[in-house]
Amino acid sequence: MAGVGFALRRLAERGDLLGVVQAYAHSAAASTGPWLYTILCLATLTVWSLPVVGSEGVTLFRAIVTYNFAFSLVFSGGVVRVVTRCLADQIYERRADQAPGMLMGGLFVLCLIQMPIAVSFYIFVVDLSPPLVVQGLINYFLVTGLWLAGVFLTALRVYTAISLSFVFGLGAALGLALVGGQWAGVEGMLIGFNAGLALVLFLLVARTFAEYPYPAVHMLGFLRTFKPYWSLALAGFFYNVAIWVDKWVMWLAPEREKLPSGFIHNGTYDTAMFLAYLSIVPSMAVFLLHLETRFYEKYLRFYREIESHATYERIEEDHGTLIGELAGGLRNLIVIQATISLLCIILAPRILEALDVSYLQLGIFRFGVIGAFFHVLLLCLTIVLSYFELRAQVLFLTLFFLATNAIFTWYSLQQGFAYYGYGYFASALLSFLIGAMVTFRELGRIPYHTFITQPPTARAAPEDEPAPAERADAGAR
Amino acid sequence: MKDRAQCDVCLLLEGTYPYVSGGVSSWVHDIIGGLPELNFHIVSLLANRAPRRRVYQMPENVVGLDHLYLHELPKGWPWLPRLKSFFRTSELYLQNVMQGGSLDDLRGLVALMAPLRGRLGSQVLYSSHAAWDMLINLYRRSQSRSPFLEYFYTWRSLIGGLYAVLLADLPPARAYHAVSTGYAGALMARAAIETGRPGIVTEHGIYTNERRIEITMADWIYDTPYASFSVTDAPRNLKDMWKDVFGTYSLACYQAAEEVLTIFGGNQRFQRNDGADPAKMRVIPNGVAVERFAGVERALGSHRPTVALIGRVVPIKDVKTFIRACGLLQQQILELEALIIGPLDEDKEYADECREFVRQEGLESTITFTGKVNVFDYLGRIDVVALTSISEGQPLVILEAGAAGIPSVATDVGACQEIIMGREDEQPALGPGGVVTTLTSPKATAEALLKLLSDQGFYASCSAAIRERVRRYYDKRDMLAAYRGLYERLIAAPDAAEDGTGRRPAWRA
Repeated sequence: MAGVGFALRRLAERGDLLGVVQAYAHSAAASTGPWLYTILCLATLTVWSLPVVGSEGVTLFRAIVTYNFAFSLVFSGGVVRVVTRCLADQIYERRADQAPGMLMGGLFVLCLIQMPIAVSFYIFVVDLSPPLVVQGLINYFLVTGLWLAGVFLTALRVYTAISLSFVFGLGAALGLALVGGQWAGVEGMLIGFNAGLALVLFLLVARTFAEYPYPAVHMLGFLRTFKPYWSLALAGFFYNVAIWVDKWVMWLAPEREKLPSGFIHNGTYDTAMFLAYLSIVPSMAVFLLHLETRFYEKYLRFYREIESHATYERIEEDHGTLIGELAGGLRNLIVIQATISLLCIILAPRILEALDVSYLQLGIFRFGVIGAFFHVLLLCLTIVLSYFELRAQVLFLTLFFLATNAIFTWYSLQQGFAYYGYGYFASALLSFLIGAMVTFRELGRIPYHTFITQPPTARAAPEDEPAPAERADAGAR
Repeated sequence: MKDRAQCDVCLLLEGTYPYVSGGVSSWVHDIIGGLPELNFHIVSLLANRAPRRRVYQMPENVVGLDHLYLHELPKGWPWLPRLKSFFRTSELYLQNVMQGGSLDDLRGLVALMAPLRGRLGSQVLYSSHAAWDMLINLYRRSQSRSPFLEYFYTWRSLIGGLYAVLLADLPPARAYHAVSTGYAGALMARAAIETGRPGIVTEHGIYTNERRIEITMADWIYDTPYASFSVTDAPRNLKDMWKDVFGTYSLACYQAAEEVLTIFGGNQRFQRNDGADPAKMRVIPNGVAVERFAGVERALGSHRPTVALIGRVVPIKDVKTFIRACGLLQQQILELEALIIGPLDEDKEYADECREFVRQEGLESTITFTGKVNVFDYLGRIDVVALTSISEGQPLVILEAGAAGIPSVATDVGACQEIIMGREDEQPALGPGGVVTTLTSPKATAEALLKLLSDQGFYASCSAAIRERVRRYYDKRDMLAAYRGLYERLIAAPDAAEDGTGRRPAWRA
């Protein structure tokens, strides 16, 4: 009998869990890329330029490049994270044909946002010759382009291609910078360095277009996703501020140097920190590998079991396995990183000596190494949280790290040279402790988050068509 | 909450009027239009906000139309004090609701949630940790072997709908009338509990029965396989949960209702089985415009002997049995004319099968598909109406034809037996107004049609009996008068005093 209630099927609306989880996973790991590249690049640059650090030209060159890396990372972090996530979503919805358009659109948006900032900085804040201004700006936008372009290949997991592009291109950049330096001083160095970066960018973009062989259309479509992913954009921005904020605070220290061109930096602190960061690269790589392989397998199984009629008892079992796998990964990370950090602390004098760094930086370097130890743990926790789409928690931890890093570094600055680096260390330690509490509390609630907080993609209910007329003559009345 | 004027009758309609055409909707439309001295407020319970089109122009005495979306809860506050104890209490009631509860459980939930209305919403009821813990507890206690994902969505659908019913803004009314049990019935029970105003329910089809069939047939509800052939060993599964929750809503509705009405006696057996109190049960048959149909000019004898199936060409009408019966009948009455009057576009595949079947049987010159036409124009030349349906409520075609003096041959479904043969308590007995046959039997249908077409004495007595029976018992004016009287009593009744036992003082005359 028509008209007694509606079809039950319509009442039984449900969502699709598995569809989206895989996208979280991919964007989580991909967002770590830029930071690792920065560390590698700045540390290499630092080490490489040390022998000639006395030269004013090299100092200026380093200052320009450091500023460009730092600020482009900060101002593009938000857009890069949203694009990363958007791309991950598209790859899982099998409509990555929009990727080339998104790459072009993303580059356009990044340039548009940063153009006023970068241009006014180079024209009004610092005092450089016009060729240097031009090269500095070119460098700035090349670096910006790298942050974005790296994402597209990371999402496809063609790590070898990325690594080769960077190694080959940065090698060329450093070599060309040397040649250029001999030819035309600082301008020459920058031109050479830019040529190398352009090569990296070219390789990445070319490979991206090869991997996504579609026309670049629908360029600004990703902008719409800022609405659902606003917290990703904020977290991306604040995280990059957080990793630079202690450097900026230390640029206020009495030991800071002001170059004639107007650049301010704190060579003592910055160099020690870049070197300290270098200590976390291996363990970070190991952990990411663990996440992408063994953990990811358990992660997928957890969701697949739910989709294939698992009882709650079974879900809890899988949940236990998943947490066990994570705990195992974190334990390995801690063991590896602790070993490396300990070696770095013990061997600090030798390392600094080998790299011809002043012994004055010994304390900062050691604090930096311990700080980086906790920092990398914190970073891994936020990646784990991202796997479960816990964006609010990631944003909270990022803000906490940012605030403490700024405040504690400021405080350590007041305490005098012996305490330099202590602020970063204390902030990383505290943020890690809070992060561990938050992460393990939320991990215990994964079933809850799976069903309640991770918004399942709504499976559209069938259209509510009016039920057919009951009687032949219903229309006649 | 905005203050609204109290209307006379608030109709609680689940998924029907004014959006869906059909028996129930035209009945609602007739009642509202037929009682212009009363004003009505309609609450239309719908699954979601999918776009829909009104198929009825509502009469002027409808003062308001509210929509209640079962998939939608207000957002509410993110947190409320004493949440743990709130959920501990609601867990007890909901557990009963999920496995055979009653009005007491609904009353408990109303007492718990009504004071929090405005603050309570999806953030607390769906998203809080305490709500999750309750969900898990309920699962562990009753469904621990069911797939959890499916349980979750079943729970959301069933209990989420109940939450929506409990939290919705209710129009103030002198009386509440649910036109089915289910969520509409649950809303009526809530209204009666909260306002102290009387409620009634009219069932056309039996909601729980139709849901039970739907659930049993549903291939989209996951059945937990179990390794035993004994039915009693089977763990409770999700289908049980679906059925039990609807059973609870139905029972609560019956218990809250002052009267439990239906349109024909056969439904009362189901209502009794679902726990309705026989003292409250009454039949008010649906009626037709007897005058209008009695005036049909019949041209007997001046045309080919004509039989007609009036209805949509869909499987439930079992049109193929009718076609076979015509084939058999045509061997006896060569000049037979058979009409199939009704839209062909509702199940095109089935309609095409029927046409093809007519060709195969070589009956093209006997059987005509008219498509959707005004039946009234055809009644004059029809000798017998045939109904081969495998399921019916109270088919109005038999009544309309009967009012015109046309006897019917119908399968023994729904109210057909009552209409054609008369109710057991009919005084004086008017005799048969046609023939009732078994289901899906072309032979029985053909024999019955042959008897009516060939035995003039039998035909005349059937024609007179059905005409008289429809005039006496199935006049739309009587149906309207019955509801007018009922509404007047309910509207005049004093508010029920809440005396703790939940029993309302006897207000009935």
